[in-house]
Amino acid sequence: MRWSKVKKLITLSIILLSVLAGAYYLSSYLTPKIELNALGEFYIRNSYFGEYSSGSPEVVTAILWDYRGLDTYFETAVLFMAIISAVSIFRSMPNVSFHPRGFTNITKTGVKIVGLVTFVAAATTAFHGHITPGGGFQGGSMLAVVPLLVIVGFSKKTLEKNGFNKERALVIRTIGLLTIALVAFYPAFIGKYFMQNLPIYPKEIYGMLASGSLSLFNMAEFLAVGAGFTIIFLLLSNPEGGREA
Amino acid sequence: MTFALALIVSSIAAIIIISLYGIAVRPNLVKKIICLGIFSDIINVAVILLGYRAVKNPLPPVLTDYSQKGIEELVTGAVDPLPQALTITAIVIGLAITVLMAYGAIHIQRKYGTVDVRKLARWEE
Repeated sequence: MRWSKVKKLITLSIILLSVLAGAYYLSSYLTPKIELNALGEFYIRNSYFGEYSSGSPEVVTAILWDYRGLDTYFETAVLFMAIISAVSIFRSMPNVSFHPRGFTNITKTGVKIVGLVTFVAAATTAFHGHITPGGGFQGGSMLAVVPLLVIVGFSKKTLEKNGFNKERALVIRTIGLLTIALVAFYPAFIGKYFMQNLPIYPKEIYGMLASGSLSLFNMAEFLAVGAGFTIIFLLLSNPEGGREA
Repeated sequence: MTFALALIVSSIAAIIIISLYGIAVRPNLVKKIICLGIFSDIINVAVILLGYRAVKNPLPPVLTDYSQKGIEELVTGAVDPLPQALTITAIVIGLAITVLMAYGAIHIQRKYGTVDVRKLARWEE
């Protein structure tokens, strides 16, 4: 065995031993937490029933878009800024068209099936985000996997030829962000609080649980995150150095 | 039970140290970005661990039985929902920042032909 491999093994075993020793030392000091925090208990008790209800049985979504909605609003703004700056950095680069053949037919058929299933799963995750675990961010991240699969399995050209180019993705993303801004600002315009949820937006529509503005926010965020990450993947899949590849 | 918790805590500390070592010492920009990703992910794991409760079979904080009894079940057995909500925010912002740094690295590679910090700073001339 070569000396560099032995050195790596020695380093790894030192790290492993120190982790075990640290765990042994810490185990006499740590006490596992049994009780719920007062704030967490407040959110669990109020999210569906209760005086400060947000009309959603999914407590994490209720915190994300209602109780701590301002956090999420400005986080969406950060995402908006990051994608806009990425697009502006890459603006000067030529959008190269190239014609690789992609993978074999087996891979292409697999991409078609998996892409459809992923799209349906992403939409379910996002649209049921106020009832089951999930939401706009998770659904949008899953949605962005579909264009990535198409880029890898077929080519970037295929995606753009079928009508999903950077400009369309920018439009979809802007629609999502505008919806979020409108839904958030509407209560402030009619004299209530910014991002207020329940008395203004209906808890149920035709007997279906809508959780006020939570489902609207989830759908808009689904579009914004999915299209935003698609723009990133489209830009990153430009061939190296702007050459024909 | 306590030893398992202590093992998780000490592994988190070890991974934090290793990723900080990678950010500070490795000269390759791409490896720095990877280490920063590991660092932010392990911080998220630590935040999730803050909300953990050592009850038997902890539940996710989602109401399945729409009644007062279901809420009592959650209060006795569910994990804290607040760290999870904060972690989602951190994940998305971390992804946006990683993308921006990757773009910076790509541009540096295209302009200077290297992502080695020592060569970029011209230390080896």
